[in-house]
Amino acid sequence: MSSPAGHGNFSPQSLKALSDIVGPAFCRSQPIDLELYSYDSSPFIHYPSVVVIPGQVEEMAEVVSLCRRHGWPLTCRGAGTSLSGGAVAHRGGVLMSTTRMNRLLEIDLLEETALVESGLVNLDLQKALAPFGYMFPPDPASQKASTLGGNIAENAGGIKGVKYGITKHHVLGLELILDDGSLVKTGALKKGFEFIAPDLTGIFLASEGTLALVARALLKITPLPKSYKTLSVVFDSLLKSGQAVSAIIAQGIIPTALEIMDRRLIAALEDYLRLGFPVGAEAMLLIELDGLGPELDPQLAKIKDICFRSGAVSLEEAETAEDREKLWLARRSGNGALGRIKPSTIVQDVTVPIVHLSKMLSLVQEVADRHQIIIVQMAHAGDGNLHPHLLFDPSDGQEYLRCLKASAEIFAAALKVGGTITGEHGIGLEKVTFMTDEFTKVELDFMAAIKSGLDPTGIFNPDKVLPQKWQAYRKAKGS
Amino acid sequence: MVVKPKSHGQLKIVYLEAKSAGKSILPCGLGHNLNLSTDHDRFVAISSRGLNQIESIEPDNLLAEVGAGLTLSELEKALAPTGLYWPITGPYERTLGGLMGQGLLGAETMAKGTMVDWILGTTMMNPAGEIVKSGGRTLKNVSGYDLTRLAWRARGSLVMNLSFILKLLPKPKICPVMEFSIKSLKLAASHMETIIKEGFGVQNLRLIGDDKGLRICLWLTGFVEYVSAQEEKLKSLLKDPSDLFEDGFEYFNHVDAIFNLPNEKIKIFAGSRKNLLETVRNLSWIGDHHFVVDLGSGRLALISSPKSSEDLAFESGLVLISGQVFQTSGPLFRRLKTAIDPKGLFATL
Ligand SMILES: Cc1cc2nc3c(=O)[nH]c(=O)nc-3n(C[C@H](O)[C@H](O)[C@H](O)COP(=O)(O)OP(=O)(O)OC[C@H]3O[C@@H](n4cnc5c(N)ncnc54)[C@H](O)[C@@H]3O)c2cc1C
Repeated sequence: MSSPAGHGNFSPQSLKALSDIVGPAFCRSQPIDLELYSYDSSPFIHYPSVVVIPGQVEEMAEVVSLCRRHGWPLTCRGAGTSLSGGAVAHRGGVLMSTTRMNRLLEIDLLEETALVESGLVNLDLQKALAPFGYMFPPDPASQKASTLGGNIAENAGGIKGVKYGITKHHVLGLELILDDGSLVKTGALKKGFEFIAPDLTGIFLASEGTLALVARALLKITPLPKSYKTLSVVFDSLLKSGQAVSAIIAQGIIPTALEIMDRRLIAALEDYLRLGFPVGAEAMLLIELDGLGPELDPQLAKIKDICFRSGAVSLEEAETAEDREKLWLARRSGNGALGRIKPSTIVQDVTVPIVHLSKMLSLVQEVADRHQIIIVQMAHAGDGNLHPHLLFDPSDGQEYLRCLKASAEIFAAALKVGGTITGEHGIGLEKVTFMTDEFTKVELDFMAAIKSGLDPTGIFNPDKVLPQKWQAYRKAKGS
Repeated sequence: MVVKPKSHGQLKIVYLEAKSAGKSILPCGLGHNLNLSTDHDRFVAISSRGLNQIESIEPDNLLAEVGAGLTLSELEKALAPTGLYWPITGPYERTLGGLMGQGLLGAETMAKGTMVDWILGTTMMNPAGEIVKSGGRTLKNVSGYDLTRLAWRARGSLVMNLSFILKLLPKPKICPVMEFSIKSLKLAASHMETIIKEGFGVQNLRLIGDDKGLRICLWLTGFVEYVSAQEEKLKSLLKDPSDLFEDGFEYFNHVDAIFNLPNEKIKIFAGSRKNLLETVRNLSWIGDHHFVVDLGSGRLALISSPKSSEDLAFESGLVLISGQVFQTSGPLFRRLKTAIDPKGLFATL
């Protein structure tokens, strides 16, 4: 889990060169700084050699070109909420934090776009848009902290994904910094010329900072819905809640959100937030519809009917905006609440075709029983995206190993039904060895060709996404 | 030469033949946008039309897997009995592979995004003649690089799509188009701006000028209750509609034909909504000609303009896109092209 690889190995000249670019206050190499930036929200810990916090795109670009010249590994970091080890500096080197690149440059209501710097926090954008009656639909549960650059690099999803899609559906163009420090624009940032040139925006979504850095992004914004209907539905089995989700989708109803929480999570949330949740219930489904008032009632009636036919025990509609907020606060607090059961968590992220959702939920439970670990289940169920939380105590090495084995079985089961090992959290370091289970050698070669075309010396976020054999990384020269 | 392989095996043979003859390959659909008259000895055009199979339609998963040679009209016909649809409307007799390479936005683009947003996965052939898959049958997938978007607007210069997994939606209950006659271009521009800023959530918004006069046309889809409420609000803003067409899909396909006229008959410009509306406001002579301003896709189509394209582009700040050479000189494209296709097997026209 830990490797202080790059700790302190940069020469004074190298540090000076970096500090000349970003300013001494924003070039940090004291042990306490390196400690602070050695982890993200995954169990991985790796120490950078130096942390830089640029305040301008030009500074970002200069740092990149310096890294390229010296062969220094460069890991970009937004808020460090990656759950797959994407934001840790696996080979040491330079860790670039984008937290000062947090300007909202423009909201254009006629174009329905927002131009942002990559370090802007997702929720700060939402807050700025709301008074104009707009939102940025991708709303990861980490939105209070996670940055738009991180959302783009991971192609983050969110609770509203069923209806509104994921980050890639809302990115119109990017301003990127290539490995030589040059700036390029893609998509709609080319202002009309995108129609007569290839649009390469897509390849950078979910590329986890391994191909280029995102400096700015042009995002599509969406009018806020006029009204909501939110339901919490209690089931006496997890399986039945999954079946209800599949049935709702099969009926052609597309709610805004369809979230499943299992018995343990319901109890942990109640213990944490005291919202009056039905402790003891086996599963709860949170369902939200949004749109214009009159269209919601007929859909709601259908959904209620499907839930009862799938075996719902009880069903409650949020009467007020406050009730609704409480339910979503609970859903977003899931990870935190679980800290009351065990101190650490591995969050998995497999995604399956929607017809296999309930089967997969049952299978995860079987895996937990087999390995004698606690797996708490929550899921962006309407997307077929499961988030089994595997709980462990870091002081119990055996338990951690059992969690890793259980994770591998969950991956295999998802792949077997035509699913994927990650729906939104990314490959990072965590799943990189499983890439050969999901892709053929030809496919990995093809991805590696893209990597080596855009980052021939392998400076960008080494060891992520592609397995070792496919990495372009040349041994870092340190300095 | 245009060849039309019917299987992956046949396709691979054509690849090998082309390679050994020292020719490059030009993936195409039905060839509508190809001009094979020049330089045709240099490459072999491979049409994906033979790969027009429907592998599966899975209503419970809201997806379909189909060959890249399938046309939009064939897809629509196959989906009709299921009550589902693929929310991308465009020229019906074009193949999905061809539309992907051209970068079809779709008539509903203001609300539904672009064609590539509705593709969950794809099977491609790389320049080595090997099969590469990306994405799949899940609604989300961030495993590895997203190769599904590589062919988007790349005009066959990077990979050849063999099949797609498409994300489907329930067909909207109603999808009317409302047309409102408008007296002046200035008024039209200001109404269009209001419609967007009031957040009406239209699928598309157009200004059409032709023999029938000047009209704003907007498309609504969804549940009956939703559409009726929107209609009422629009009527109070723009007064009585001159016409209301029940089937937006049919209507838009009819109007869209203008964007597919041959280059010598039409000039197409692209730009931001602001640019387009400024053009409508300021270049009053446009009103004397047949034109369509499509705010969804950010394009202006102009028939029989007296001005040269260059003058118009200069005056309006728009970019002329019809008849233009496809630009493959950007550093990003060049680096990707060299990495993926180092021997330049796929032609860049
Ligand atoms: C409590 C919690 C809830 C979460 N809920 C969700 C959820 O609902 N949906 C979801 O999808 N994810 C979720 N996540 C995961 C995580 O929040 C997302 O992946 C998020 O997008 C990461 O953003 P970040 O700013 O923290 O990026 P970081 O974690 O700092 O970095 C993530 C990756 O992005 C790269 N990166 C960051 N900025 C740039 C840039 N400017 N240019 C290039 N690369 C860059 C990094 O190198 C790294 O590979 C959750 C995490 C937590 C801890």
